[in-house]
Amino acid sequence: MRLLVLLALFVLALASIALAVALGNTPIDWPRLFEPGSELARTIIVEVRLPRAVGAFACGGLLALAGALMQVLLKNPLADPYVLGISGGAAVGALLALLLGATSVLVGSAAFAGAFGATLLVFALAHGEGSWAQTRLLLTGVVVAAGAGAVVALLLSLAPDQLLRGMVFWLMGDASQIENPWPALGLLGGGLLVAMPVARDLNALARGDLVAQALGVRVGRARLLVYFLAAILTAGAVTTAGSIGFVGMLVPHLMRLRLGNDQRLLLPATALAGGALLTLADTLARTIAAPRSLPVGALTALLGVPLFLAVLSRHPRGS
Amino acid sequence: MSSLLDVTGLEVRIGSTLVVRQLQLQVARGEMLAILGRNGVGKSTLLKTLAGLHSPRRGHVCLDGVALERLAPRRLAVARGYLPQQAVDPFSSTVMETVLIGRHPHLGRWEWESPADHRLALEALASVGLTGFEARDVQTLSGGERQRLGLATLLVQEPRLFFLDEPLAHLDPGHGIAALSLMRAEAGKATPAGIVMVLHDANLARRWCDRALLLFGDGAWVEGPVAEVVNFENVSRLYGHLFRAIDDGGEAWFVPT
Repeated sequence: MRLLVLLALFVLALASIALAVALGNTPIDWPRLFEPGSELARTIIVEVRLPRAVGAFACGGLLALAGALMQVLLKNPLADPYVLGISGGAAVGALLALLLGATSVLVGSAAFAGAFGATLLVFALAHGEGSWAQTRLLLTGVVVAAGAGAVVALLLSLAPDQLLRGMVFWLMGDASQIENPWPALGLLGGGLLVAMPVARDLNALARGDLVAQALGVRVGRARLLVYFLAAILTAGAVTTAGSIGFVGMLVPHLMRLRLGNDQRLLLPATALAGGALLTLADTLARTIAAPRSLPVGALTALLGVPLFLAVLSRHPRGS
Repeated sequence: MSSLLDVTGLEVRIGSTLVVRQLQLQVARGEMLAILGRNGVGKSTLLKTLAGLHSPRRGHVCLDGVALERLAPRRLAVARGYLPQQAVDPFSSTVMETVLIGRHPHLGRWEWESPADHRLALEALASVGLTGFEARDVQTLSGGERQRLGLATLLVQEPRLFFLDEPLAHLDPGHGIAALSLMRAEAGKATPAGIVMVLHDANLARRWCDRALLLFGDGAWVEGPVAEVVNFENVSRLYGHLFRAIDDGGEAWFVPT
């Protein structure tokens, strides 16, 4: 049953990537793909569509996994990867770099530095013990995010017009800037490898720190691990494709409603489903108004909101 | 028989409030100890300290002769169970998933619950009267049902020392007595468990427990067999209210005047 669910999601993920590779502005003559004369088609597939599809998948997976971890860490079903100000910090870094005319590699590094700076700032400010620590962490994150939002608004108002469009696209999340998707995919695999051995600890943690401690979980250590793991995963996603909203909050919920809250199943399922959702959303974003490409961040919400509401209203568990 | 829980020179504080000073206490296998005291006197904090979930200011708590701080969390979790005063369920989860979490310290990192663990879980649910609730969402349970689920989770953990913080909260009198007799049964098994529980009913403590620890505030305490320490004067002093002792064929019942 559990394996079947994961297998089905894996097939869905592969199908979403295949669809993303198959669809696009340039028609591709599939039967003759490997014959001479199809070099352009092969180049488009290998150098344009595949990196973008894989990148979108990796980012979706990273955000969804980070969201699931954040929700357990804060014991708050409303938490998302950005709740602790990570995307705000990344946006400040990235926009500053864009404003100074940096190349895309530098923009990525600046976003990562900003994300991590915000993470460390929130962690240092919210350091404490006990149940109050959770609320303080959440409040500190929200306040740091608000501060970052103000800086972002300031940078946008200072930016010259020709840079504005790129900055706004970065803020909304845009998979077209993905050049090399493999680090993000590696990060997703690595993140799962780190998270899976502590998945049952997280099950205990979701029932309260005291209960987890009584069941033999090293609570402080587990919380620290989850915090920084979620931060690194989010920073990786934001650095790759900008701050794409909604995937990180929506997908863990969608999966939890269908599969329950066993993290051993939920975490890999969330990563696969998040990746598939973002790949599909991105494919839609670049085909729906072709040849124009829409920011994928807007599409994730457009796609996700009705899906989420439909599942929520048919809530199969409980009662 | 050596004592299961051994407390020497324990001092516990919450901020500047003194809970106990120089506490000496022993709980043997098969014994039930009640902790009684007024609201806010520090019963829960003391219970957490005895369970190794809170560090004492001074003194030592030993389990089977080993100081708690020298036991790895996982090994401690196999030996002692703890029922919190209030269960928190921020996420929906089935009753079965919740009760199986009690197996956590018994399982290896990559291990999943076995059919034997599932059988154990079903037995525990049956013993608290929650048979048929396996697929229910914990968030839809009543307060009393959630409390009994907590007890079942503890049974599945199979500790030899139970710490229960107000196990009778939310329970109707019938289910309350059932919970007490369940604990009595754990204390009477072939390998008897030790039970420490915070109670608010001096009469139930007298009837069901072997010993009682009375916390008077400001670090003052009295400990001993229930028949000796749960008496008219102590109960009146404990709750700051005059009690009457009603004699019922040799059994005394304390009723607030």
